[in-house]
Amino acid sequence: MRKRFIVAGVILALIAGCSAPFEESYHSVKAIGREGSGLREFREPIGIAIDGDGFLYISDAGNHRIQKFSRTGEFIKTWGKKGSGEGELNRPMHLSFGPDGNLYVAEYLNDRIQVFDRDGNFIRFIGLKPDGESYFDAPDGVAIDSKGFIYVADFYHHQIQKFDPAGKFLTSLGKPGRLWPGNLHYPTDVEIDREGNLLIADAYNNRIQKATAAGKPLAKWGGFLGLGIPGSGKGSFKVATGITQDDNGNIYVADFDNHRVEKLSAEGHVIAILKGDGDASLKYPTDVAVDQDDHVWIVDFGHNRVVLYAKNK
Amino acid sequence: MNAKSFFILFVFLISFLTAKPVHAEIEEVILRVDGLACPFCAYGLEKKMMPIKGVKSYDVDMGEGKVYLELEGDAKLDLEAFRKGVKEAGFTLRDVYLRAKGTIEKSDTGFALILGAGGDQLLLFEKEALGKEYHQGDDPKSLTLGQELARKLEEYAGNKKEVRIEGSVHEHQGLPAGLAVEKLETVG
Repeated sequence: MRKRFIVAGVILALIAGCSAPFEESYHSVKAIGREGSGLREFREPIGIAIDGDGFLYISDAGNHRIQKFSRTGEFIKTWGKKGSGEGELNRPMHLSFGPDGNLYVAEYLNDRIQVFDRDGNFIRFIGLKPDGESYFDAPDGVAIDSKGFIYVADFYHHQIQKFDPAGKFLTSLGKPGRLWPGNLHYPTDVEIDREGNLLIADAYNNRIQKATAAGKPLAKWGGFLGLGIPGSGKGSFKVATGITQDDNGNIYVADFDNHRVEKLSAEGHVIAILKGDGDASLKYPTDVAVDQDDHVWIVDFGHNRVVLYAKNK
Repeated sequence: MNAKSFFILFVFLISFLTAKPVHAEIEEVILRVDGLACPFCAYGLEKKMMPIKGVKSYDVDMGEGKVYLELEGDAKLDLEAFRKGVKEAGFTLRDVYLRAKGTIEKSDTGFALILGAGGDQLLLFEKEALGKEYHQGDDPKSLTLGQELARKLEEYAGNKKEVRIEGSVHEHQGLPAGLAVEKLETVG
């Protein structure tokens, strides 16, 4: 009899744990953009970055350009057109600011990182060899650590490529694979956490991974034991395409096929799910950024817009 | 011969010598691809398809899993290159659908659409022939041309009328690539 009570108690505790409300909840505030090629319009927006003054920079991949907005949604400027020259872009993807204050943009079809200042002036390219070939095969995410080292998510190589601040290639991190820590399968984004570690959107392993700057695996999250079994439950992902971290160490993951963003603690516990309702609902989100007010900006790829979420009090 | 006659003959000769043979022009190729679920996938396929010789432009409908290719004027229909490009991008090619414009030629093997300057041809057959078995050595016409389609193709081959034709590309072992005709209309 005692055993039955213990078993029942464990089962009830598990059920309670699974159905416990999230610690936090969010509501959508507004959206910027609609489908098109004009100003304030997007065609397949992919990435978002926020500079130190709170301006938003969005990669408009289908229009091969970057658009800059204020936090209130006011259009500031745009630059780029399809091409391979300086200032030209071909499928710009995720983007990040470096400690130098410049914007680093991963260009999927030009196989390079292009660096701009905050006004869109060309600075340099990263990732090209002296013979004109590239270290990349479809770079789609980029992050720069506090010392200026550059990390690039390399989609078809299933690795993170590392460069020194001058742009010299150093090493490849991770290996193609599906199961083990350090295995990557079509990674789409990379971020630097507060401790200088890498957070990687291991997209088609349906998980995120944490590794040291030297590539030593530290943790993985996504489904049971981080094995990356795709799912729509708490803590699971179906194609984790974008990743970022806020000033409190919380991790946000754009969960593409689940049409949501999951917010996790630094230890990997799910704190909140952001997905919206009705007209505000997300459709294939690809990236996420957190501003100085702790508001969450999500690139809503399927709706060709960017949506702002705020925490419920 | 007076000057006027010479001029007329001169213009005639120039027209004859510079006249281009009428070849079929592939207006659009649609690849139906399994697994095109996200922009990383779609752009990855674009990356592999655009370098293929003759491909002029690429567009994609992710939801429908369709890739639209525009080819250069005299481009060869390189099915093997398409298959390889799709595979390298990590997907499976379900089928190739195309729309082309040109004239119909009749030969011992049946009716064909002649493509490009190289004289590549697409044998034409009924859509229902896709499910038919064909063994090397059989009469290709056994792949069926229904009465109505055969009559039209006979007429168009005879009067060299330019047609627009659409259908799925299919390969039977031992034969050149064929087109299972779904739409056929005259041009102009």
